[in-house]
Amino acid sequence: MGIVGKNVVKQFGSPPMVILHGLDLEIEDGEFVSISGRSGSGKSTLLYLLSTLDNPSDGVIEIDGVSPQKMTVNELHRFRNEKIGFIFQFHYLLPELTGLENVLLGPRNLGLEKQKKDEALALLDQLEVYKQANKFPSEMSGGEQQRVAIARALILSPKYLFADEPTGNLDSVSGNKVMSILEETSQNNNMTIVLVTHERDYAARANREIYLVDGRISENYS
Amino acid sequence: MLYLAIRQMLSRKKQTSLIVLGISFGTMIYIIVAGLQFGFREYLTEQLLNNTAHVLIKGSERDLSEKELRPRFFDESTLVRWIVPPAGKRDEVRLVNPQGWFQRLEEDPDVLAYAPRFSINGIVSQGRYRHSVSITGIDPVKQIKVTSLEDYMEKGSLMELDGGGSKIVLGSGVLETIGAKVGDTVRLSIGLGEPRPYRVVGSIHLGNEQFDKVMALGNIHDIQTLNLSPGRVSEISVALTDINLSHEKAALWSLFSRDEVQGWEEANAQFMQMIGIQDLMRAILTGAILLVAGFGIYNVLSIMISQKKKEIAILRSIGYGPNRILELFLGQGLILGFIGALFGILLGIGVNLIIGSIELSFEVGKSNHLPISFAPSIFATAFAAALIAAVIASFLPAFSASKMTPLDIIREEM
Repeated sequence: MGIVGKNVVKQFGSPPMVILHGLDLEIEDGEFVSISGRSGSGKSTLLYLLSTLDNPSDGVIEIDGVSPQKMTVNELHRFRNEKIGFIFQFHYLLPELTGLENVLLGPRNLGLEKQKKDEALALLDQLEVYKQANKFPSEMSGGEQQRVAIARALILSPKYLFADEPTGNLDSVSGNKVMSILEETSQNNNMTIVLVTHERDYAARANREIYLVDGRISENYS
Repeated sequence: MLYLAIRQMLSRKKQTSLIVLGISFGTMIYIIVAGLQFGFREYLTEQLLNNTAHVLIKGSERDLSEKELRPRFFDESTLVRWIVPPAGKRDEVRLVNPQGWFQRLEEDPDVLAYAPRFSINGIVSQGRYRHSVSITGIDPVKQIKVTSLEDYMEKGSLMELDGGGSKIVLGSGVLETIGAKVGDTVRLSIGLGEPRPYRVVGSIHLGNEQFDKVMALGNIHDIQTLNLSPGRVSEISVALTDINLSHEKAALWSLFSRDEVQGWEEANAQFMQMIGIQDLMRAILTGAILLVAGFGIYNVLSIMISQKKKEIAILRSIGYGPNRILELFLGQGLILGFIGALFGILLGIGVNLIIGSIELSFEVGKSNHLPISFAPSIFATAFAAALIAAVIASFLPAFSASKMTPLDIIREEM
């Protein structure tokens, strides 16, 4: 079913400033797609629309066969809880929780924290931050924090993973490591990944690139 | 969300401790003030109830009238023109038909007990010493059921007056003034005939000089005989099964007789007004304290929420809905209120115990300590008030946090 956007328009303010101009796009299940473009091209705005965090001003977005606009607040939160994982540029780990507790935040919301504990530790091990399981975010490096945040996004094996500039705040070594993890996740778990990045090298590592120019998809890259 | 709420509070121990302390102090001050106020109220109520029962039936003062006197001196057919019309009061205040009252009170299911009394003024003397007293004739068996006078007996028992036999119980101040003690024989005079000897069988000490210096209690039949007025009753104290019925019962009974029937509250209207003022003062004080404590919670939570926007965003994007975010911060307010109230109650009890242990240079009731109430209702009120203040104060910031969307926060952070 994947993600489908038809004539997606997003505008802000009054008089309205159009950010996205009637985009049509389709992302298939299991695809690893990158959205890139210059600052202000609308790539993060598009990601938020595709990931249910925002609604389009016009047009339709369907994810997994349903339109988030038609969901109730509870349905939407359950959908996010079960089917979507987010990775942000700023990892947003909860500072009062340890690495492991941060990873288990999603399962805790579903009452599954005990069942998922071993899986969480295995995931942290796989992402090479096992030693950080019982450390607080303030005791971790930026790269380690981002990998813990990735583990948090992956713990419930979401069908869709949305990453907004996940390497934006990391050095090149950590950035490469994060990209490798996304590539492996895409290959091994058949997860649909949508990555927003302004770095061309990282964008190119996805199966498909969507390049935005002033709120429109550039044909040269799509 | 309780888990996360606790973790967030533990991560900022200083702020949490300060709020808890604020709530605790507020609760503690309420408990101290309420404990003292209620303690004094209980003491004063007890003092008043020793003299005024739930309902007091007493003879009303009646003016003399021409209509009443005329048949005593002239027959119906005589035309009478008074040069000076009769005026003034009838003799002492007494009940018109005490037996009728006894019967009515016996039959009323709301009456727990009643006790007739006969009061006159007199002079008690021993040797050269003389002192004015207010003599009250009581039926000790019935009196004990209506008031707690027996609890204030220093020596002897009211029951020793049972059966009569020229025995008397005197106030501690009276004994001191005339230099007598229990076991001595004193002389009692009311201005009718020769003074009569009475043996002192007990001393009573209410802790209130106003009463202790004038009180003399005897068997009602002895006092009636002393006054040459057998069967006369000046008042009846009535104890009801429920003190709250006093007003209703007094209003009903006053319809049956010319005697004056007063409920406890009417008889002590000034006292009731004072209680009302105390209640108002306590309510204002409580409101002010809780406002300050609530404002502390509101401020700290508001600041914390503005600092934790990123975390709210991630929780919302993970699937924690608005209600869960509301729970998170409301839960913190509730926990702070709960711990603060509990701690405040313990502090309040501790301080009140210390205040209550201070020895005063004067007497208050039976002891020389301040009367302090430890009634459970004080703690329940303090606890509920602190918790309500905490809920209200934390609801507003918690509600605003629950309304934040992840995207708004992310855009704000960018």
